[in-house]
Amino acid sequence: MNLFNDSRAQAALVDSLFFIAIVSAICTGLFYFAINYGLSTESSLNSFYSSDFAMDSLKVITYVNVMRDGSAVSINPSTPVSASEYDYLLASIKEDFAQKKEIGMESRKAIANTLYSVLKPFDDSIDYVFYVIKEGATVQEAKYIALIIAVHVPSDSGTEGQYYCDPLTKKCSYINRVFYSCNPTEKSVLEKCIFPNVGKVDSAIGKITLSDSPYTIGLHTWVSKRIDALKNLDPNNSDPNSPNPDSSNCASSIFSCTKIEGVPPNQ
Amino acid sequence: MSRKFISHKGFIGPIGDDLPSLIPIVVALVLFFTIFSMTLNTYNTKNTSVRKQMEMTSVAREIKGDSLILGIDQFDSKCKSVKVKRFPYNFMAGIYSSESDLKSVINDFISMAEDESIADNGSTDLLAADLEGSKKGFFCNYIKVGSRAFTGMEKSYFLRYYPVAVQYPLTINGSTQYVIIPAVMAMVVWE
Repeated sequence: MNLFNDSRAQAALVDSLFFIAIVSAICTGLFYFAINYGLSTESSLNSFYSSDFAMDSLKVITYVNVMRDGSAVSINPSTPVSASEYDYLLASIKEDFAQKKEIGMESRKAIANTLYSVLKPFDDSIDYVFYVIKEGATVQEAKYIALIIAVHVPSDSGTEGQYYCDPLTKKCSYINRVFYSCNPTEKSVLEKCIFPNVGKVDSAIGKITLSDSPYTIGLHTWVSKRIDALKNLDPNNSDPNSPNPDSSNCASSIFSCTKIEGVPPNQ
Repeated sequence: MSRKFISHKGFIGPIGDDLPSLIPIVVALVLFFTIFSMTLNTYNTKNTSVRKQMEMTSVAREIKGDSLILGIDQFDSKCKSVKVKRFPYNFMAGIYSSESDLKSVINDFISMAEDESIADNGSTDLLAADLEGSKKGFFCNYIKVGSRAFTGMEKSYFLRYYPVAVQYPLTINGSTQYVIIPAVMAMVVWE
């Protein structure tokens, strides 16, 4: 009996220790909730914004006027526009397709110029690909009517503020935006060689009609990343550090690209 | 009598006797209320942020419509339609041509918050329509009653860009013709 009386305060201490243990568990739960709350909503909102941006960019391509030589219509009074020289970009694409069953270099340049204009706010950080392909085509009959890839490429010259030093190799160079017009032989080249390697891809897909047949237009954007398949797209300017074209199924040579000159206009 | 004597052995007082057990209880309560208030604060902040972004998306969609702006009149009329009294946040939206330098957007917005007329006089990179000799910038501004103008120093504000095509009058060979040019609508929302 004396033993119980003497231990009364210790029992209260153990109770309070249990209490602090329970409170600590609740606090851990609350802290975990506070850290994670809203992350998925934020992520969904950002993803929605990116996809919406890509879809709006596709719409703009179908609305705009461009010069017949593929350059953008200038509103600068110092470079006046001559009436006979401009047309709708979509009309230009349709005209090319009706005549040659492909999209000509002037129209490709106009598409690249328009993409550069509308994606300018994120030009420093994203790469993208635009394509036109026959809707519902099987792999055998599939052919890109147009495939334009926009990537950042290291260069010995460039504009101020576009200078980058690789933290691993300590090699510094200018980074320029370069547009390529490509004619890959395989339909799944994007799904096989680019999308799995660049991380999250935001996509917008639309439909246009060319010569009474439905075609799919697509714009896919991702945060700029140097991947082997996109390192050496220009056949006239091969990078000695890029992988051997024969050593990989995703070598740059399978894209069969040529550089689109004059886009962006200031380079 | 003997039992009563034993139970009072070492007795300090009702509080003093339980002092060692009170310390963990107080620590636990302080810990709980600190974490609880922090969680509540985070919850409210994130909710506000999400709501602000959703309202921004909604207003931007209303202004840009189907990403085609047919002129300054249409832009102004859409701007007026979103400036309703119950809208919970302040916002500014302006359209920049593809030839503009978008690095100056925030500075332009700060300047236009102080003096809205500079949107029309060409001292910013904002796209401006020619209205029979005078210029009118593609600029939409809404500030709630009692709110402060945008300074760029707000605790949290959102800046977003939206691609648009704008029908723009150009003088070609002496006559006015309307061309559709690619442009970017910049929008900032703050409290």
